[in-house]
Amino acid sequence: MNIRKTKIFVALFFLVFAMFLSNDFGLINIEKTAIVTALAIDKGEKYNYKITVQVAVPEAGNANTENPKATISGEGDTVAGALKDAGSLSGWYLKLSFCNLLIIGNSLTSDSVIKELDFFAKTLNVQDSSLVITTDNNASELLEKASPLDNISSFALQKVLLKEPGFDSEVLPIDLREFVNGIYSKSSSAYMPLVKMVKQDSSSSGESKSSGGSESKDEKVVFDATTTALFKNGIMVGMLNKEQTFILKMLKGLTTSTTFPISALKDGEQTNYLINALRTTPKIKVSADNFNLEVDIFIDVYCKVVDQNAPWQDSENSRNVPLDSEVINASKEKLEKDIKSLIEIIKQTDCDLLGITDSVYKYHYPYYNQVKDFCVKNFTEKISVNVKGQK
Amino acid sequence: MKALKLRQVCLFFIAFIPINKLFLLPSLLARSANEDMWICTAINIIVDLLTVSVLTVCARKTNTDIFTMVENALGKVGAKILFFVYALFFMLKAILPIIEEKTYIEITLYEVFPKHLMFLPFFIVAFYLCIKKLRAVGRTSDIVWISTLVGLILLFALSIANCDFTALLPVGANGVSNVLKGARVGFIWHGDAIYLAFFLGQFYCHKKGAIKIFLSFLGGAICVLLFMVLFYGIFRSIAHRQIFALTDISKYSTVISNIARFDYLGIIALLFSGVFALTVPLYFAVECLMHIFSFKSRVLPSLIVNGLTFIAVILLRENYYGLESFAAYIGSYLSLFFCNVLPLFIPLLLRRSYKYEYTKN
Repeated sequence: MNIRKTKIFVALFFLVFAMFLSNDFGLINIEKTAIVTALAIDKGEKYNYKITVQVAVPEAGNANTENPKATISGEGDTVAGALKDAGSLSGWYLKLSFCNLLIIGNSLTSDSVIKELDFFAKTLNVQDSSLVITTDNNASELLEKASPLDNISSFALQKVLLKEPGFDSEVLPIDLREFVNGIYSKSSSAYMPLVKMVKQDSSSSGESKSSGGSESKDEKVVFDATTTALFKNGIMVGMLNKEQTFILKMLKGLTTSTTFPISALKDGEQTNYLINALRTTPKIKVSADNFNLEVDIFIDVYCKVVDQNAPWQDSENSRNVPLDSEVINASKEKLEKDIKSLIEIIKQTDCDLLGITDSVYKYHYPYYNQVKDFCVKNFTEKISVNVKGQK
Repeated sequence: MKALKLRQVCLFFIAFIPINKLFLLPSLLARSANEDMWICTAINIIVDLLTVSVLTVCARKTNTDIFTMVENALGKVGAKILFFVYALFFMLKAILPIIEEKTYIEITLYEVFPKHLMFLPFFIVAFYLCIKKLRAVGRTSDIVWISTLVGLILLFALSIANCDFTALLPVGANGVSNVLKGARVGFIWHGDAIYLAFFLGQFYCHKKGAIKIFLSFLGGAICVLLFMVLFYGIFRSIAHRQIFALTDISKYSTVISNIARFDYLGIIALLFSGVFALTVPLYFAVECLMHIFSFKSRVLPSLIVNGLTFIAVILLRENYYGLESFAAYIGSYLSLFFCNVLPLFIPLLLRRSYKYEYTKN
């Protein structure tokens, strides 16, 4: 009986083992796989959408060769249809799980971008931690232009968009999850960086060795992502300039060691400073009662002077003495001015960047139905900026 | 010598309670109750804790197993009918989580959609586990609880920084009816307290032991509650669309972006525990059939239970929505009745059983 049992179990083991090995574990042919690093969506010519994917093609090579890249385009009436078309035309299987960047062309921002982004938010093939950006032109151009920062333009873009915490950055990046969350939240508001291309002429000596010959002059671009596009109900309704983007980032508590320039009158002479905001503590408090809404914005900033263009040597610099009152006042003025400018844009565009609607819903729910329709346009703001620091 | 130790009963609840509730249930609750979804889970937990309290009191007072107890109280025919119904119920309770985890594995771990027979090895493993005696359940708990805890700790550690706890405010804004609707949907996934009824008489339980069992159950339940809180805090308005929460909650951590998706180590650990957690209701279905038909060996009932479940999983593979609707309505009421209401009568059964034995002696 024991021998019989043993035989049955051994037979079962081999049966399971054989079944385990019968599938190829769902592996796909790497030679026919296109690892998509970025995806650009524009309005199509024949169909609704044109998708351009930037692909890093895995190829055997030595350490001196650059990673080859390619862009493939496809069109379709839906985003998924355009992706399928791109895959069919190229014969490649588009592996989207490494796609870290989604670019929306400006041709699509006048209508709800959720029509394009929702597919990526719902599918399990694309990470919803991918960055989303828009541009002032066609999205595909961002992928097709060469950049001196990186051979693959999407990697160059990601270098501009993402910096480690603690490093100076003027960009306010957002991922797909947060963007879609913002649109579907009570405020129906979200933002994303608007990337502009800045042309840089450079002669290519020693560059592009593997792309077949060097050219005498290459038009390369760098990317400026300091502008932020605002979205309400998925439609682009406005933009923030560099200063407004910076102050919004500060109000969201995303600035650490971020610098900003000021100009102060010191000893009768206009002096320019670059101030490093070492620590920023923002607080936004929303108070609501019947038909009234007050938003208290408070920022506490601890700064240090990085540089000043004074003609004389300031012997107090880098000795941790407190900041001059002129510098403190100039910093306060600049930050208050930027906050007021931001609030003006918020009220004009009805884009709730400060989460006022959500705050009313969470903390003042009894008044929510009364104030929700004019939450963003008709609130009274009270701004308070506290600056201290050292030289 | 008893089949189980007190320690193994406690570890059983820690190992197996959290697992099946981490897949589709969070998104279903978010659909019903939005930010109040954690209250739905809390209601399910409280109901289960009430059942556990009653059963731990019974565990202290009896050395008789549940089958003998019911037979003494209701007679042989009555007991057979009751356990037959329980066998069917346990098979029904097993089908939904099996299909859930099967779908999860197919969609997230495979690049190309695999054949449905891909999941057959699970049933072979389940068949093997079901032919073992109750002692094996205790020994399995001794091992699997580590895998469950490691998986949960890793996922929680990676996701807590991205959670906005204020997203759970305001409390109660969705209304009592939506919260109760969510709680009703959750009953089919909960109801793990019933397993303690089948452990009665199989382990020695003193006063402190009862407290330990209660706290172990509570610990496992709190892990589920914490998962729901983290889930909603991370996804907020889009929580109802995140159908497989397990893979998603930990991937937004900065360290994951910088290194790689090592959170899959935690996910695989939980899937490993999931193999055993999915087998538990099938095991007790086999137990019930053993006592109804007095099989000499567990092989045949195990084959019947696992075979029928496998056929049901294959037939229902394209009717998941219908199964989900059934589970959310009729299935939930059945679960509430069999897992939480009926066990409350065990003290009465115990009393009748004592009287029967007294009379017999």
